[in-house]
Amino acid sequence: MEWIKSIAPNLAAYFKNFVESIEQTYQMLFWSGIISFVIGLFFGVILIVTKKDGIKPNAVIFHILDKIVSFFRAIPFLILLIFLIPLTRSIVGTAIGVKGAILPLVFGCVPFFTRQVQAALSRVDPGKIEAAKSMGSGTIGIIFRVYLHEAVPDLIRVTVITAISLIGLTTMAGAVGAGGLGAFAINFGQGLNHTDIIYVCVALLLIVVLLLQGIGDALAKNTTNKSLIRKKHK
Amino acid sequence: MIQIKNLNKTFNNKNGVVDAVKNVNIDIKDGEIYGIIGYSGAGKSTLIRLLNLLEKPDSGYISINGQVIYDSEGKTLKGRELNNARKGIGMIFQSFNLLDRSTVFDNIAYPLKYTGKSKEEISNRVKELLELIGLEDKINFYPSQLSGGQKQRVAIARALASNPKVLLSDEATSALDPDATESILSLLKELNEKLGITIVIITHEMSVIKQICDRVSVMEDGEVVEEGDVYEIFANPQKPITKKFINSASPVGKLEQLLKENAISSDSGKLVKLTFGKDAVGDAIISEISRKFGVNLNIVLANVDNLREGTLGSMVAIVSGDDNKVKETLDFLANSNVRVEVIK
Repeated sequence: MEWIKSIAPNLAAYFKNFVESIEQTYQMLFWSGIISFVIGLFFGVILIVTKKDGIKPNAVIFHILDKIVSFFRAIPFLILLIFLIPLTRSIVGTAIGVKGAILPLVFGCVPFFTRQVQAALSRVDPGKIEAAKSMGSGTIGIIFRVYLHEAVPDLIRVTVITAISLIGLTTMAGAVGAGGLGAFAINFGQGLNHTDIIYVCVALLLIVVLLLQGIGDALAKNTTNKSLIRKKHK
Repeated sequence: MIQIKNLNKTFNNKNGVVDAVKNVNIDIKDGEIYGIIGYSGAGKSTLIRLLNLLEKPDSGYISINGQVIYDSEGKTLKGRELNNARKGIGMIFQSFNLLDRSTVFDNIAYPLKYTGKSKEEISNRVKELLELIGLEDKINFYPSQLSGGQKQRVAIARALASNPKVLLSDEATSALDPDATESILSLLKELNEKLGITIVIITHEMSVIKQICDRVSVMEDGEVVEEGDVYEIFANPQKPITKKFINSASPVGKLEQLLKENAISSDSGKLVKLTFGKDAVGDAIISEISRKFGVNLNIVLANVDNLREGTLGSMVAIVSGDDNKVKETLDFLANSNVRVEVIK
């Protein structure tokens, strides 16, 4: 505590708020991240499967989903936050705090992640899909045993990219009342003119991003052209 | 075994409608190795994809092993039925199409998993297949650790895992070096003899047809322009494109180029191409005629091919001497199972 006081006296004064804001950011990141991952992966798969030369072409589903994703991608997050307030209120009951932030975060994150998943899956060699078909695999089999299986390293990479951009979104949500590191930096750093608080927030976010990127890169590397856990056959 | 009747497939592209496969009729017998040769764009790859409905035909009829796969005037396989039928039709590809994140074991086990087989059954079957392709020691390797020829062997094992009656090979040796090509072709031949599996081979290389096929169709612009026993086709090609393919696979094919470069002069006599059928290859016919008619034979090019049905020899030579004697010589040759073409 003493050394924090010496390098960042203002942070030390508001340390309780600092810890609280980290926890809020973490909660926003965790919940909106998990929900966005599941929904984005699902939508990405749907887009790949139903596209014109996909394994189960369906122009109606493809175009509707494609347009929805484009629509939400086109709205800047800050405007999306405000735009979604009535919806958030009616579903979650409140539009402020961590609880109120998760829904808009999901809306902001899913379209981005969907596009990333779509791109990752479309890099799977169509020859592999053709081979799977020739062996009698059905739609579900091809999705799980070929698309998702072969795209793992790419999916890890796009998940990390999305997670990092999601951190950015949470701080923006903080600016409009969700709390978290963004709100902490604005209210206590900028608002009270305590620059040391801003520096610490930047440093902390930098460490988190570097860590995520590092883990992601290592995982992606270890899953390229091999599986992470190797089963040996005698 | 495989019946293809009046099969048609067109594609729409920017330049309009392209007839990829036009009115194709082919009958492939049980246990046969059947070749389909053509230049790129001839429609051969589309044709083989129609057989297991990777592409949907526009019209026609396909049946494999007694089961109707496609019939534009009747029932066509769909959904689960189609998937089950595909398990009886193996397929291998130019680019191998193995799963890069799966080991050799898991690649070969792909068609066996989720079919109600126990782990042990799958493991035994995979090992059996590995023995068949001679890669037992690569069981835990990933495709990125294998050579092209080894990858194709694994792809063959995978295609055979569910005991298909038919194996479709789409340019399976086109991405391989000559040694690997050789070994894959002999493996296919061995599988054909050992398992009695019917093999359909798509290729643009006549040497592939020459080495392992029983019968062949030559495709051009979506149509089958010539069809028959490989031996007959080689001994007596009819269409210009067939001749071109045969020349590409034989040293004697160099003749045209040599003539163009004026590397051969036939001023002293007649330049002839002689084709020796399987009944004539063994005979000492050349020394016999030079003794008998007193003519000189200058051999320019010669080649013997060992086809599945027998050996086939061809030779380009300049016959010189007395005009009458030369004529008599050629008549004699024509009467002793040798096909004579006077070139110049």
